[in-house]
Amino acid sequence: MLKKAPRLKNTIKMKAKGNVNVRPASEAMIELITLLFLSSLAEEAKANAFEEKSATIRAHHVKAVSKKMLKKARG
Amino acid sequence: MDLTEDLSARVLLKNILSTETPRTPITRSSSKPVSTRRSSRLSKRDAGAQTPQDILRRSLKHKMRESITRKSLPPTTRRTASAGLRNINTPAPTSMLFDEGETPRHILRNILLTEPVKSPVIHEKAASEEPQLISANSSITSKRPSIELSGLDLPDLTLGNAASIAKGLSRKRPHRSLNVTAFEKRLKGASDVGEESEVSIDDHSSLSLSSSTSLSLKTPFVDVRMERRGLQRRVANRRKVTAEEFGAGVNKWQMEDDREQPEDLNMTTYSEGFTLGLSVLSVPDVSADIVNCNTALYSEPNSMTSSLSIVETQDKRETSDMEQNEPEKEKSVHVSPTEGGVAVESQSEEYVSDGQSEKDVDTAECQEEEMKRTSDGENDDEEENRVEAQTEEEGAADPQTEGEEEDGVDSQREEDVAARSEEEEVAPDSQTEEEDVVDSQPEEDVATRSEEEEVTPDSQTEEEEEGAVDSQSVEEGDAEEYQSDQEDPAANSQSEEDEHDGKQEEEEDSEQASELLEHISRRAQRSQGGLIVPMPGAGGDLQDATEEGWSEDKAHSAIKQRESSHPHSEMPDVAESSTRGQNDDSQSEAESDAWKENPLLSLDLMNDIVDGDHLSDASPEEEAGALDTAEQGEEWEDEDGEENEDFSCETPAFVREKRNFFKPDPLASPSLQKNIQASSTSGTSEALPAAKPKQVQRKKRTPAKNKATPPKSYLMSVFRHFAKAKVSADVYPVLDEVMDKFLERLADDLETYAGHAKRKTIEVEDAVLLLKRQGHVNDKVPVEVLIEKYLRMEQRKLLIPIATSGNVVIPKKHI
Repeated sequence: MLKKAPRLKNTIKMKAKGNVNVRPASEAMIELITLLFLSSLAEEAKANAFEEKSATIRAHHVKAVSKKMLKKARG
Repeated sequence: MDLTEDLSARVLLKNILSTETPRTPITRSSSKPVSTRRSSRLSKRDAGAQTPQDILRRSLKHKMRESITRKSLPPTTRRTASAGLRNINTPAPTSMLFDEGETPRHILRNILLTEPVKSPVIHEKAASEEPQLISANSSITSKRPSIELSGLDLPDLTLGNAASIAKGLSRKRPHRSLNVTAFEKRLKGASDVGEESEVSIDDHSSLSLSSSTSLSLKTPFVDVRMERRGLQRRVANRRKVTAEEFGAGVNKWQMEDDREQPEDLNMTTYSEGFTLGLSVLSVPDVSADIVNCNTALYSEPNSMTSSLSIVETQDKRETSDMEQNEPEKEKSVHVSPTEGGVAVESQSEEYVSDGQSEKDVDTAECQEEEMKRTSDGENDDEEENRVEAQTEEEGAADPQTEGEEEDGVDSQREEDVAARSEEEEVAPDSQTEEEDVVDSQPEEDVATRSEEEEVTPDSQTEEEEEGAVDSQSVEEGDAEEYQSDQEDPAANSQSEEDEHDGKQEEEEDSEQASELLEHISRRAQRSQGGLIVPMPGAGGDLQDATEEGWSEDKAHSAIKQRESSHPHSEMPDVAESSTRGQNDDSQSEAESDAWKENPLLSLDLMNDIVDGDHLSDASPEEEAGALDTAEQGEEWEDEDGEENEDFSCETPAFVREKRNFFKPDPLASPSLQKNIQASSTSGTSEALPAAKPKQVQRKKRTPAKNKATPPKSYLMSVFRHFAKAKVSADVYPVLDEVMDKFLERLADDLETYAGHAKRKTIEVEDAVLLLKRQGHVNDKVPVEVLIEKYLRMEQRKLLIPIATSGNVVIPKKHI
């Protein structure tokens, strides 16, 4: 949000199996989607960390929530 | 009607007692037949005389009783109720039949007689008294009074129970908790008449029981509460913590704290003990060198920062999983062909097994991290980083690649050598303030270093397991050289070159791997000056094709180092280096790039070293690869050798820049290493023969596809921003993985949506559809809200039309 997501367009294009083009507008939307995902992931990880009474978010906190978040972010 | 109004249980009971005969249809004693007989007689009467009042009363009472009786003693109560109903109309004298206290009537009577008239609110007392006085039957009666309330107070039941349970702590107003509890008790044990005894005994147990039954739903809450004890800001008024719960919670909390503390301690001890541990763990000879180097490093201001960084890095390293190592490895290692990568890994494994390597790895790792952390422009850091990177890679390689071996050794060696050479080059280029310095033996060091470098490529295949003293000595020499190099880059380079030639052949057999590791560590410590020395030396004396390649790389790297270092993101550099890993050229480039950036130094070092190893390993085993690298090396040599010798040359850097140019583009993720490794075999073969730019491009693309996640800086900053809490840096690998999968699915979904609309372009509506399906956008939250919340202005402008004066709308819509 503070800076532009670098190379997001390229990564999407890379990951897309077929040949797709990405508009600047849709690129902005993709960025929005990723930001939403990251924010919810961060929130969940923070909650998870609080559950374990830790003020800092650690890798295993994130790992524990990641699966759930990925499932939630399906389309 | 009176009856309709006076529906209080008490009143009803009184009525019952007053109207009904003391006969009960069912009594525990032998009065049953009598009562039944009576009831039958009475029933006849009742049928006859039924005034409206009586009917009403009877109906009311019947309902009450039936409700009660159904819950509790069904058989007896029903009969009694029915009997009572029948007897309502009969003005039977209230005979106090105390002989059978079990009958509901008697119980009720007892209650009425014994208990003072209380308002429903004050049922606590009544409840407290009830258990004492009431037997199972009395409970039935008590139910009556509470029935009206219980129906209304169902939601309060649990509360009431809770309050009653936690009597000591409950601050609630007295609810009829006890009545309820008693009621519940009765419910439970109502069927069993013989529970009377239990009632009194289990005042608390019943409470707990009732609480358990009534609060069954709440138990999880309790647990959660316990868990969150430390974090709960407001204690739930409803649920008071009993002493036991509290104690359990405290213990839990303490345990958790303890768990956390040791971790922190470990981290600190790790960092602290790292340098110490190194000395202890390392083999005397090698360790001594390393230790000395370390100490020298720390003693200086640069070393201070580096030590700090080492500590930090150590913490990270120590605590991080192999995942970290893997990504680091990926970044730093220019994975050359898969074999190379394997070789590296195998080498690293070997190194580790040696013990010396372990230390080296550790030191290298620390150094790497330090390098990363330390400010840019510090050559020392760069060296260290690279050394660390290399060592890390090697260490990391162990877990990663167990199957592959020996192939990568050579490549590793080469990489290491290359890295070293690069370091040397960097040193002279950017002699930073810090210079560990060891002014003594500048030339000797250079010579040794060059030897080592050369040796590594030569003896990659052989050494792996030899942790020979020779290497140590060489390393030592190199280390010294490095230090001195910083100060006298030019002189060193020249001398080193000469020395390199001579010494290469001598120490081929020595464990290059270990040497490399040591070198790396030392190099990191020393100033960059040493880099230059080995580079020229290496370039001149490369015997094998790989060696040549290395030298070229070194030269290139040196040149690059000399160039101004621009701040690249770690990722791009790493990626670059990773891509290069496959080729010497790439290595050198990566290295050079890395040098430009301090943080990347370590990575590059690692990459270079690893690459070198890989290359070295690969070369003997893969002739093609070796040839290719050699070819490349030659090319580079031709170009760069001259330039190197001249000294910081713009041309090589210039050439490098070209290559670097390509690298950053495709390299999106730091984990290109993996990609590189994966495609190393194919990539290398392809790349080698092709022109440099092409090679670079190919390398980059293949790895890029595998893991094209956003850069680390971006990811971490965004994550921190959203987390609003401290985020440890070790989340990055996990985060990267998650982002990788997420983006993959995202692209897949968007593509599907566009395809469904028979389009080849992903449109805004596709993304909006995805948001809807994810649940972020719904009737309550339109897309625009999200856009405004999260996106920057320029993006918002694209998405939401803005009307400006003059009937102009932005963005312009093409009609």
